[in-house]
Amino acid sequence: MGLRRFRVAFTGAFLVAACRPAVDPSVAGLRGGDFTLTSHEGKRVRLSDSRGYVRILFFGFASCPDVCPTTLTRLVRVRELLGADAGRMRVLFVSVDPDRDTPEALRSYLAYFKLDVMGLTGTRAEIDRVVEAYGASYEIEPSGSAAGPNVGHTTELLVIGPDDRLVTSLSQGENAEEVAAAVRRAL
Amino acid sequence: MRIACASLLALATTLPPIAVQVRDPWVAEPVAGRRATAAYFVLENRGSDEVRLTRCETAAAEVTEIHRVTERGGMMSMGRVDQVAVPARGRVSFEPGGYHVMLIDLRKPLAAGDRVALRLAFSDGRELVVDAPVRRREAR
Repeated sequence: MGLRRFRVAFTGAFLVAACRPAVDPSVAGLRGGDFTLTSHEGKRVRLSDSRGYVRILFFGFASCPDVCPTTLTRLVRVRELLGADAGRMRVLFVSVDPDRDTPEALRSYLAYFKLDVMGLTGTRAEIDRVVEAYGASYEIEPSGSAAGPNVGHTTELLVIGPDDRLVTSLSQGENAEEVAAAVRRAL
Repeated sequence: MRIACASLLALATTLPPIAVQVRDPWVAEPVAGRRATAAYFVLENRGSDEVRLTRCETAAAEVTEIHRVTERGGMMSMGRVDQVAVPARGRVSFEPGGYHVMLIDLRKPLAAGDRVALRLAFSDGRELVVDAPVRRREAR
């Protein structure tokens, strides 16, 4: 009897722990944290300027013809799914291709999507610090393609809570419903 | 002349039926101001031999290239490939996040509702022309 009670108590404790982990395993070991970059409007902005909102941060580049438009289109759908909560989310698109991605290039690219999204660029060193802090990576290699150099990048969506803390990381495989649910949990 | 005609007839009758079919072709509406976009379709091979897609051309772009998005260690990378094999009685989907045909340096802006003719060339010597509508991307 005593043993059974212990089992129930133990299972209960486990469930609570599973529902509210202290650190999401997907972001364990990542520093995250504040940073300063240049927005698509040419202004210097900090992550903490948008404190109070859930931020979805991801890395990409404006000449990206396949993966980045697919991700941005999914986020437009996430915004629709969030309904009244959509105004509590901000999307941050950090370029890993600052040689081509001037603020103006980011502005014209992102204006296509019906989304409250801020394009961010900067010096290579500034971008590399953000890439490292958020556990991302990228590579730029010369290619024989007329499309320019091959730019490879990680595609996780990093969810940052209203208190600027990194909450979780979502893979490219998560659909719009799953991303919207993660945003709601972070609100 | 008679021999030439007979040879041609022999050639025509010995060519196998078209093995590959192109289904659901579409071109993603380019992001505003961008001069590159991607074309997608499904290749179905009903034949008993592998057939390779060797080229896909269009008058809508100066350059076309077959590309593939690959994932390595969580990093998505896009690279050019020379050809794509469609296995016997198999299919290969060209879709966002996978294979696609890059249309580079568009000759004129494309918008949803436009149509683009794509000419696909295969390793068995066949060529197919398909009419692909331009559509906005859809969320997944």
